[in-house]
Amino acid sequence: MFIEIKGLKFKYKNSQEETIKDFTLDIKKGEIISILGQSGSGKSTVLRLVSGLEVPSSGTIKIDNRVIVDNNTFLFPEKRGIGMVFQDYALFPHMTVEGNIKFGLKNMDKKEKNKRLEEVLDLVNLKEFKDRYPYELSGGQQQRVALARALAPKPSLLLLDEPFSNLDADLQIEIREELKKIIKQTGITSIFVTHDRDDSKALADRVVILENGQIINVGNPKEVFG
Amino acid sequence: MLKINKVKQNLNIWSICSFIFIVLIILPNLNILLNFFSSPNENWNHIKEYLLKDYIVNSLKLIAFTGLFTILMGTSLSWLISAYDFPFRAFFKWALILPLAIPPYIAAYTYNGLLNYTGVIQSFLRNSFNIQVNQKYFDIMSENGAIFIFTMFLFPYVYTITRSFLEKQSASLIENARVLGRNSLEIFLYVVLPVSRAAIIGGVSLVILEVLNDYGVVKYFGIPTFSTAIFKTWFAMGDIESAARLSAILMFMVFTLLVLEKFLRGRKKFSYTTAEVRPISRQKLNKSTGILAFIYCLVIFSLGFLIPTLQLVHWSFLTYRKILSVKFWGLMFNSLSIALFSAGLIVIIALILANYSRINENLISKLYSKITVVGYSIPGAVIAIGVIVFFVKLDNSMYWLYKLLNTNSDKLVLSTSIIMLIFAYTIRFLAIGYNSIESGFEKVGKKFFEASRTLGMTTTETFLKVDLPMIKPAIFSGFLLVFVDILKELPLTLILRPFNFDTLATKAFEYANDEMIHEAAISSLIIIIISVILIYFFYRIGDKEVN
Repeated sequence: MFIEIKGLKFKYKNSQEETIKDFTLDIKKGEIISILGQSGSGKSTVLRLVSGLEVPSSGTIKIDNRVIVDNNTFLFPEKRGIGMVFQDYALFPHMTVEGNIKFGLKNMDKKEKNKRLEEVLDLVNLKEFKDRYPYELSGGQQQRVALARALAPKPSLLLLDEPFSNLDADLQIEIREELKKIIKQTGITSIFVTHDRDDSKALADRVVILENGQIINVGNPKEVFG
Repeated sequence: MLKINKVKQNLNIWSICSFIFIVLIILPNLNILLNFFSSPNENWNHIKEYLLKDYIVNSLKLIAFTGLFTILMGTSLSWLISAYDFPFRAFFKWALILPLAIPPYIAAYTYNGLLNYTGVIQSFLRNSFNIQVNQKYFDIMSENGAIFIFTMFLFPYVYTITRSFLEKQSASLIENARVLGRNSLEIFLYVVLPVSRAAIIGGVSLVILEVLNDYGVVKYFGIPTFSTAIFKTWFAMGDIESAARLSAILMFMVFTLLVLEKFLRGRKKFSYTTAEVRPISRQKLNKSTGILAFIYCLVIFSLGFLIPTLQLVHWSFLTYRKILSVKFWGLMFNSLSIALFSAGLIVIIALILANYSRINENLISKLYSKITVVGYSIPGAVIAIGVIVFFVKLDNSMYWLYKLLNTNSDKLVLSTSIIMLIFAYTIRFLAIGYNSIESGFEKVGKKFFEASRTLGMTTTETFLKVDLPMIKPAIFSGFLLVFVDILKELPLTLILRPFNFDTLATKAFEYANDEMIHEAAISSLIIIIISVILIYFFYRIGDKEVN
């Protein structure tokens, strides 16, 4: 298996109950996984654990047979090679689109950086916007920049936290299709979190339903939603 | 196993630096507290028997009356300004902050110069009307005079905090009360005062801390309080042990005050509504009440800013030929360079501490930020004693090293250098830089930091490329606030400066103490002008942003 998550547990400092109780999941290369749950189910916490923004109390995560977390190891987020699109995009407001995208390309020389920039801008169809600042873009455009920024360093895994929650309802379907196209085109393994079953149905190869920090159902959308 | 991991995860350059800074802040203060438990010397018995009661009573009197009067003045003005329209309201709204630009010790000798026998008021009465006044009524150098000075020049703390609370938080409550048919006085007593309790207490505790910190006013007026006593015990009697003991008692008073503040404020924080921020719709006062409100504001503004400033301008014209010499530019250079350097250092330390505690939200980091902030409530005299004891000990234990480097080395190296003064500034003013930077971090949030980490940047790279540019305004404003505070600072500079090192503040105070009040004017005026510019910058510009 490309990604193996085993027995992941997590508790926030000021809460009584464990937020994540024994989360186990294997993911194939290129698969699109959707974690579906209501707010407070712990779905975003799973992403934070995988990306390294939180430290689990126990459990193991391996990517391509490399341990990124277990009882003896903790790889910092910057060492994991995982891309993440944040719920509100977190685009750096003091940098242009170009600056944002090149931010993660620190080990490339100038020529490579420019080449990669062109590639991802092409992918998300924002070529003529590279000198704009984030506040000069619409919500949908900002999301595509965030996606391009996360994809630019060629991560092995892409995480998306509630990718549609900040968009107008009438845009959602259109943007969902677009996102699906982009992800499929790159063939990247992805996990996205949502509370909307339509999102899961439309995008995911496999759906994980999370309730109170526990997986209660896993399967392809047809199996899960009937 | 995972515990070890967590330790390892948290151990980096940020945590190590933060730890060192915190230890350096604690050590001098700890020295003082520990000294309290050693057995007292003879001097102490004398102090305890004959003097201590006076110190306590005087300090408490100053605190109590200044507190009471600043509350009355501060809340009434803030209510007037935020709920009513009257002539020149917009001007007074920010002009009433200006008394803060005049440090109380400067105000003290300016008022003395105004009111004494040769001063402009008595001379005028004498020469024009041949009136000889009873000196008793014109003697400001008394306890009542000190209360007057503290009230007139510190009330803006209560005024600004309460006003911004009223303007932003209470609109719906006050409008409701108006609709329910209550008159203005009733609304003020039963609605405004209770809801703004937390803000008022927050403001008045700043006033009280300033009063306890003051050395210039009470020294100049000859009032025995804790800060003057600490200096006297140390300089005149050479008894540093008893001085430290007095400091410990003063520190204890301060901590009691801080606990009391928490208690009085209750669970209320400054902001209390969750609804949207909406300014109060102001009522227009009719002609006669409008003029009364105008006169009330004008009188306070005149006493607290206009009159002393004009007096200083006048004196400056009398003395500038004599004062503006090469020596004076030396003073300017000293003042500006030490304030710039210290403010820069403080901002850097504050950045490291604030960044550490933001990234590691745990008990240790919370403790760190508490310790960082507490320095501002410790009076200058106490910090001075703590720092000097600490540095002398440090020198003693490093003497071998000095010898090694230079066989003729003196025993006291650090404790006679400017490093000691900068160290003391850092303890006292770190809180100001820290608060500013912390609120900058809070505004930005953690998501950009996290995004940067997932894009392959380490904590330090993120700090330089993302955090620093994003909180630039907060860093800048923290720097300016610290800069002006150091420029005005008196007690620490007075005691801890190296031999022959004078600043604008110390020179002005020395002139005044040597009965050369006129000569103190230019230095004082420069301090005031720089402060006014800063206040204008912060409150006027800041206000526009909100509206």
